[in-house]
This record gives sequence, C-alpha cells and structure tokens, in this order.
Amino acid sequence: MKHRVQIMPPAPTPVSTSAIRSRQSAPGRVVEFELLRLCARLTVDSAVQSRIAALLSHELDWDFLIAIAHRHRVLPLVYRTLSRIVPHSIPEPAMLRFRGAIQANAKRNLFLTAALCEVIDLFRAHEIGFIPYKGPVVASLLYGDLSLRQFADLDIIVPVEDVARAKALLVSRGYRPERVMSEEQLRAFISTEKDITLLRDDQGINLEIHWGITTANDPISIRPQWLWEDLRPWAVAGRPVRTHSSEDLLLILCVHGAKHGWERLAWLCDVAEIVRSPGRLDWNRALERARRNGADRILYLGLALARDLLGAELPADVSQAIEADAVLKPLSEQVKGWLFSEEPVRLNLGERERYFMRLREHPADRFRVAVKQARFYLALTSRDKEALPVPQCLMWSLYLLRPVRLAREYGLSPFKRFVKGIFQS
Amino acid sequence: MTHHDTVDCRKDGLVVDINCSFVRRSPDQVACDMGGEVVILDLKSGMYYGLDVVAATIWALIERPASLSTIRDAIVSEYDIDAETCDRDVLMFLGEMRAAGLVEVSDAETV
Repeated sequence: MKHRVQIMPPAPTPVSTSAIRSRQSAPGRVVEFELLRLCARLTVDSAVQSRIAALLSHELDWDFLIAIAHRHRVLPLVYRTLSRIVPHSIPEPAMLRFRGAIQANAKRNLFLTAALCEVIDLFRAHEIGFIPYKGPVVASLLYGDLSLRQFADLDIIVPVEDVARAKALLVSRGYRPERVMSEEQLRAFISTEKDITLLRDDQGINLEIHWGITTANDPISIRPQWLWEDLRPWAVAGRPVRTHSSEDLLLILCVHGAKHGWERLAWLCDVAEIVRSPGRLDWNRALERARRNGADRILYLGLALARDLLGAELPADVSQAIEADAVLKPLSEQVKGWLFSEEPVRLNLGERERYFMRLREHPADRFRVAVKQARFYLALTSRDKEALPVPQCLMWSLYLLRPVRLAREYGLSPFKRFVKGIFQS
Repeated sequence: MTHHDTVDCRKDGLVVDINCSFVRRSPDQVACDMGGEVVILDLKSGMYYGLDVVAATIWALIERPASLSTIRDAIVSEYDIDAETCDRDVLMFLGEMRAAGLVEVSDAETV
C-alpha cells in the first residue's frame, strides 16, 4: 500500500435537448451549452450519460466550454461529471486546465471557509447572532463537499441592530469597509440597503455583512426579520451554526437568482440540488412561505428553469401550477436566452424594469415595482443639467423638464410599455 | 495471519493499542474531495495538505471516530496488502497526520 501526504503551497431528467437548441442567441455553441447543462449536476442518470457521450462525438471547443463553465460557476461540477463518465474523451490540455482550475477553487474555498470560521468564532464570542449565507454553507449543505461550488466571497447575515457592532469588530480584526461612512451615514445606509462589504486586503477576502437580502430597487422585498424565522442546525468545519430551512433556502435562492436575471447556471444548480435531495423539502411549506411573500411566480420560475435545464423533478401539482401561469413560459424562455448567450447579457433600465414587473403576479406588486423603477427615470442626471443649464435656485424646474427631454429623445414608447407592464397578467 | 496488538511508531511518537485506539479528524481542519484525492487546510497553521487516493480512503474512514482495527480491516479488504504491512503503513500515515494536527488518537471512542 502506498500513501502520500503532501504539503501543498497555499493559494476553485433528461429533458428535451430543444431546451437549448432553440436558442437564437447561441446558434454556434449548441453542443457546448448542452454539455454544460447536462454536466452541471451531482447525479447523472443513464439517459443523460448517453446524451453526454453522444455530444462528445461532435467537434467541441473545449476552451469555450471551460470558459462558460467558469462564467456560470459550475466548473467543478462539469469536470466531476465528465471525468467520471467520459474521462478519456477530455483532451490533455483541457484536462490540465480543468484540474488546475478545480485545485485552485478547492484551495480557495477551504481558505474562505477558514476565514468564515474566524468570523463565526468572533461573532459567537461577542454574542452577535449570525447566519452564514451562501458560500461554504450552501456548498456543504447541497453538494456535500466544499470544492463542488465556486464562490468568490463570504456572506453572513446579522440582526439589523448588530450591523454596526459586527462591522466594528471585523475592522478591529483587519478588515476595512469598502465604503467609508460616518455613524450617521451608516445608519442611513442600513435603512435603505441590505449589506455592507468589508475587505481583507492582505488575504484578498470580500466579506459581505447582510441584514437583508433585498432592497427597494429589487423586484420583491423580503423583510429582514423573515430571514430569522425558520432556522435549522448545521455545521461549518465542525462549528455548529444555524442555517435556513430548505424551504426558506429555496425561496432565498429563487429571489436572489430572479433579481439577477438568473445570469449564472450555478444558482439554478443550487435549486435543482435542493429539489433532488430526497426528503429534504416540505413542498407545502415551501409554497406557503413563497405565497406569504407574494413570490409564487419567482419561486415557480426558479423551479421551472431547474426542471427544464437541469432535470429537477417537480411534484405534479407544482408542474401544473407552472403550466397554469401563462407568463412563466415566455419568462423562462427569456431567461434561458440570457443564460446561454455567448457573452453575459446586460439589461438596460427599460428591459430590467419590464423583466422585474413580469416577475410579479399581482397587479399591485407590479405597480410597486413600476414606481420603484420610475425613480430611475425621475432622478436627474448630468445630461439634464447639461441640456438646460439653470441657476441653482431654479434646479427644481429640471424635474419638470426631464420627462419632456426623455420624450423628445426616446418617444412615448417607454411610457406606454411602463403602463402596459402594470396591467399585463 | 498475525499482527501486532500494540504498535510503536516512534518516529511520530504514536504508540497505540490497535484494538482499543480510536482516531478522529481534528476539529481544526477543513477538507474537501477532489476526484478521489483530498485537500485539507489546517486552520491553525494555514497549511494545505494533499492526500492521494489511498490516504483519502483512510480519511473517509475517520469521518466519524473509528478504531484502528476498523481502519486496518477496511484497507486490507480493499487493497492487496497483508495486515502487518497495513498496520505499519496506516500507523505511519496517522502518525504524520497527528504530528500535523489533522487527527487525534485516543483510547476512547468519544475523543
């Protein structure tokens, strides 16, 4: 028997293939995107294995596959699946790149987990409540291994009343706030935002202290108190912690993914793995928790995408509810188009506003989203001041003139879309 | 097939009764699997360690406290090795791991 302990230097249901084939945005990269979604899962059944093997008989741009796997933060899963199913089909240069990237990711994740442990110990010693959020917790909870998820920073939720104290503690341990604020500015910031970023420059750590997960500019508002309602015991590197129940985590992941336009496949992998874990979800409770937040469609969108792209099997009544919502089909097709575009999609304000409104099922919620988005249109920009220079005492008049300027430049169609969006189902 | 009940691995100071000693992972480490190999980060020293597939097998066996005899039996059944050689190699490996602070060895299951 030989063994090796090596000190390393410190330093990452089968569904219709038409799910991607129909994408207009990625006509030349169908095989790579198809491989991406088939491989980005913990378990791969025989039908998917056969499909993967068949795809590998096509000419493949391995560099592009690795690039999109990294962009979508699923490189460890893709490599794991390929190396298990078709190890000899991976060309040597690609294998080397894969291995280099996953080794770096693994070491980085361990390093970040160690940093999180320090924060946990610190908060516990000073009796600050906390919930480790995303990152190492989701990696261990959903994938059973810290190396199988890519995360770049650390997130931890604290009670809103403890944010200033938590920040001061971390500053005393070598972190610095990304934005320097006075106590008064911090109080104002806490009232409108959801997190602050602290940096540990000597170790390259970004740590976000959250007190909420949504702001007024997001398509939905989740009360900070809601985050503390349903917690379960878990452990991070042997340290006992509390984390969200699977039902709440599912909704949190769906809200997070939806507000970012599901721009990363990894977020859908998280949803798919929650759904796939046997006995993990109480579906009635998951639906009830979403309903109480007016987030049915946001939840169903995440579930529909996880089902269509990653083969997550949903209960029949959930699938029926998804089919019954006429908006969900075009909405999920829109998101798939963004997901599988060759370059990351950046939505302009108008597109974002329409997408946000479509995420909400109730007209009153759509109206609220529309009003929030309208603030972007009402806020003065430097162009308003350049277009009509007025003395300071007449600055208020620019607010009246801004809609006129916008109408002259862009016509009335944005306004019409705005009104139409509110009343669409 | 015979093997020692007590093994003296003096290089690493590991003298154990193979039937009564239990091994567990140190709480001050965090580890992950990489396609059968394992990377461990020692939280105290900040050092990274890599385990090859065989060492990773032993690491997996001590996810919960395990007796040395359990580890030995599992390795003997999985690999082509006699029990005496296995005892020596496993203890050498665990001695290195203990010296690095990655495992704890005691004579009680609840270590």
